[in-house]
Amino acid sequence: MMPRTTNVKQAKINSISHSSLFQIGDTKEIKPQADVLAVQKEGGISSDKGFELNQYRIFNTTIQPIPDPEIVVGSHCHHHQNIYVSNIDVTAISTSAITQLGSSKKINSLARLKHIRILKDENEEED
Amino acid sequence: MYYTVNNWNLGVGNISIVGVSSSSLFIVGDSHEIQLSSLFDTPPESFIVGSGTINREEEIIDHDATND
Repeated sequence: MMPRTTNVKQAKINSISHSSLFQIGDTKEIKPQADVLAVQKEGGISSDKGFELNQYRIFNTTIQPIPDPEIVVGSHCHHHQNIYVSNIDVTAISTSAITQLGSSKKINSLARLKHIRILKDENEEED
Repeated sequence: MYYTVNNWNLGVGNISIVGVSSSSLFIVGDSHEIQLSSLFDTPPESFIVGSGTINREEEIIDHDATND
C-alpha cells in the first residue's frame, strides 16, 4: 500500500533535545530511547558521582510490548495521493519524541524520567 | 476483523504545538505500527530534606534504591 505524500509549505521548530527527532521524509523504523535522571540539590551539585542510573529500579525495568491477540486486516485506499499542511509551528520536541513529516512503518519510542530533589534542612538555613 | 479505509482530500491550514515531549509523536503522514511508552517516577523518598551535611563523595544514595 503506497503511503501518501506529505506537502508542507512551512515548518518552524524552536528546539529539539534529549534524543528527539525531526524527520522529513518516509522511514521504515524509528526507535528513540531516553533515560533521564534530573537531580536538583539546594546549593548545587559538584559532580554526578553517586547518581549512577543502574541503581534505580525505573532504569532496569523492561517494558513488555502490548500483546495483540486479535487478527486485524485493514486495507487503505488513497483516492488523493497528497496530504497538504501549510504552516507547522512546534516550540519544543523533547525526551525521545518524534515529529515526522512523512510516513513510517514502525515507531517504538521509550522515555524513562526520574526526578530527585535534595533540599537543606530549615534550621540549616539560618546559620 | 476486516476494515477498509477510503481517504479523499486531506488538508490542514495551520498547526501550532507548544510541546511534543516524553516519547510522544506528531506525525503528518501514514503509519502502520506505533508503540510509545514512557516511565515517570518521583516517589516521596526522592524528595530529601537535609540528607546530612557529609560532603559529596561519601553521599551514597543507597537508601533511595532500596525502597524505591
